[in-house]
Amino acid sequence: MRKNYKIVLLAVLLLFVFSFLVQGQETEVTMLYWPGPESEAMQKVVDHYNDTQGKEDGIQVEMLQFSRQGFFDKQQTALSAKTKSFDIAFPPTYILGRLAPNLEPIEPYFEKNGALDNLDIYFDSTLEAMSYNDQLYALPTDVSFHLTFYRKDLLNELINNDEWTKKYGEITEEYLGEKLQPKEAENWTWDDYVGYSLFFTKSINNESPTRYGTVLQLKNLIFNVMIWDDVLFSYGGKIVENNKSALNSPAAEKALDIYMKIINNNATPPSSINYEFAEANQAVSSGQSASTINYVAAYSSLTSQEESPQVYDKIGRASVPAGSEGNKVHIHNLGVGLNKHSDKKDEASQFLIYLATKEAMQSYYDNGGLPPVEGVIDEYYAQNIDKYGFSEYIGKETVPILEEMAKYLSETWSNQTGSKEALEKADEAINKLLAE
Amino acid sequence: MNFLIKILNDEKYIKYFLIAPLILLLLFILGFPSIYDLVFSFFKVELGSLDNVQYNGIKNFTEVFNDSEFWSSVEFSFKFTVTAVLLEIILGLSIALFFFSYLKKFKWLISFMLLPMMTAPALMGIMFRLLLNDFVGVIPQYLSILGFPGITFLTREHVYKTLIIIDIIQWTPFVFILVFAGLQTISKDIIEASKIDGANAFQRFESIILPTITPILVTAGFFRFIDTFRIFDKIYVLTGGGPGNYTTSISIYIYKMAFSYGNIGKSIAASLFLLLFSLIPLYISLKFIIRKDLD
Repeated sequence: MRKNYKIVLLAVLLLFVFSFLVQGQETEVTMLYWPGPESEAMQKVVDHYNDTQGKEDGIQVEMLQFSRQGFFDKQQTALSAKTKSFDIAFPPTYILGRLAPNLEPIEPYFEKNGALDNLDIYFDSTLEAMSYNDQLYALPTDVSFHLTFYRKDLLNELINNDEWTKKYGEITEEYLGEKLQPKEAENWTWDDYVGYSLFFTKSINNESPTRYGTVLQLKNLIFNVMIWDDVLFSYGGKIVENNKSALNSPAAEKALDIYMKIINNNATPPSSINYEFAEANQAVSSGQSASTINYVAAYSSLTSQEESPQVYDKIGRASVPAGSEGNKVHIHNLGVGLNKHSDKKDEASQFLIYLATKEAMQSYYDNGGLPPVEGVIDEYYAQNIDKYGFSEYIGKETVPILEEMAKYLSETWSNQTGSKEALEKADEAINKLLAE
Repeated sequence: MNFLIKILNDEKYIKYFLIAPLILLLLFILGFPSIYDLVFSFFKVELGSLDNVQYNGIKNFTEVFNDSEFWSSVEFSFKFTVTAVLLEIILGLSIALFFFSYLKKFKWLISFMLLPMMTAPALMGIMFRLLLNDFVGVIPQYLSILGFPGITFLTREHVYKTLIIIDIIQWTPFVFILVFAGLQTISKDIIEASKIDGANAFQRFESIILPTITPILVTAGFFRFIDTFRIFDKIYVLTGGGPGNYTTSISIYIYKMAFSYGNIGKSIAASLFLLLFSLIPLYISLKFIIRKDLD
């Protein structure tokens, strides 16, 4: 009995030592991601890496997921606390400046491994959106930007129906001071967008088949400000220049004017003041609204027979309308970067180098991701990103600045304050943040 | 060891041993963070650089004190709380009184009445976001059928009332169940005797029922005041504190200050002000309850 006991103990000890030996042959790299379609897509890429190149590199990648709600706050808190629980972080563009002190620039690692050319697969604007103080801190994995989604059946009718065209001219002359001709959405200016919205609003045109011509997202939320920024930048406006607020400008007044024309003429539902992505989609997919400007992720649900049975085959997409400086569309990315406090940065960078290849990004795209890589992403999206993409100011204060803008702009959008007053207050708040 | 056994057998000391684990846990979960917070309220602490804190005296407190947005959020929280709590108490009491005998017979109905209270506040916000949607929401659809079309529940015009109603729906059952339990402690004999003496319903309510359940109402009111004053989830999900800062409660202010603006020091100072404000209703409630007990 005593002898058996010793044999069992020895066997357990040997197993224990063996497991350490086996583990010691491969380094485990932990990558933080948020749950959803993006992580499902990335898991496929990770699995393939682990089964192939990972074995050669001696690296196994494990994904760690925080809940989506409050994800970025949790990540920020963990990084600020110098966590080593993940080696690869998941920074988005808009908090890159704040996370940068806890991230490691990645270009030196690419250079060290002779893989600097890998970065050429990404669109320049998307790499800029992951850079802070001229340092690249993350690879863009999912690009987010905006498109105009409209009812192509209604627009076709408007263009081809003389009665409708005549009425459209009358409405635009009355409300915009200029008689416009309807045109294809890809060639819209903001005035054309407003004209279309007014025409398809029942309270203005009682023959309109839709209740509202468009639906704006006006909730006090930074992602809604990013949509408004498309209008601002298309008129040559800026938010920050030379470390001072540049918001209060004729371009910003014009951009607000565009929105207020739609709001004050009820071309967007009154409840828009609390709308964001989901509600805007609902308004279009229920057939109540003839258009919206929304994040590109909206397209799949608007064109899904299951989710939008009334309109799935009637939705067209176009670039956001043009202002005096042409079309401009806000870009932000989700990305993957190196945790500065990790002890496995070299190993983690090997996985990043693998990710920055067309094969890996193609696999990511095929499984539901949206990587900004030419030749991988939908060609139409690629054109928009390449030709029109811009990033707002990327700094430590990016989110506070957008929060102040959201607060004051939503006051104007709900007619609590005038445009000029809102811009002055926002301007003052932004300068205060930049001075701190 | 013998000493320990002696202590455990001594009735004078056993009570301390029994509550010691709880006290230690509370000190760890509440005590340590509270002291930590108090210390950091005197420092400039930013979310992006937690290892680089600088002492700045009472600057965080003066910044909060001088911030009009903070006072605006306090005003919103106070008005919202007083309105919601008063209505919840009146409704909870009314439901308990009018349906008392019926619910005593069919106790299983109480479980359904308590369901809203069991729902997480954030989930309540998400549910109502869908229910109140202009296009697919059930409530606007049925109101339209009943002859009340086009009510926009989350516009500036109606959002305040909407938030109050949602809070009432969720938390009136809390007041109801406390009052219901209190009503069951009133002796039937006293009620019968008062009826024989010729007391009408109002007189019975005024002289017998109300004095009995007043401490319960005060307790319920106190708990609801504290909980409603620091409301966050429902409002954040529905309105984000907007439009502008129209529905920004003090908790939303603190959250945004910490995580959107990254100013941890200032958010801690604001949360200490919230703690101070919460002590006022506690003091009033305790004074009332203790005085009642003495009576």
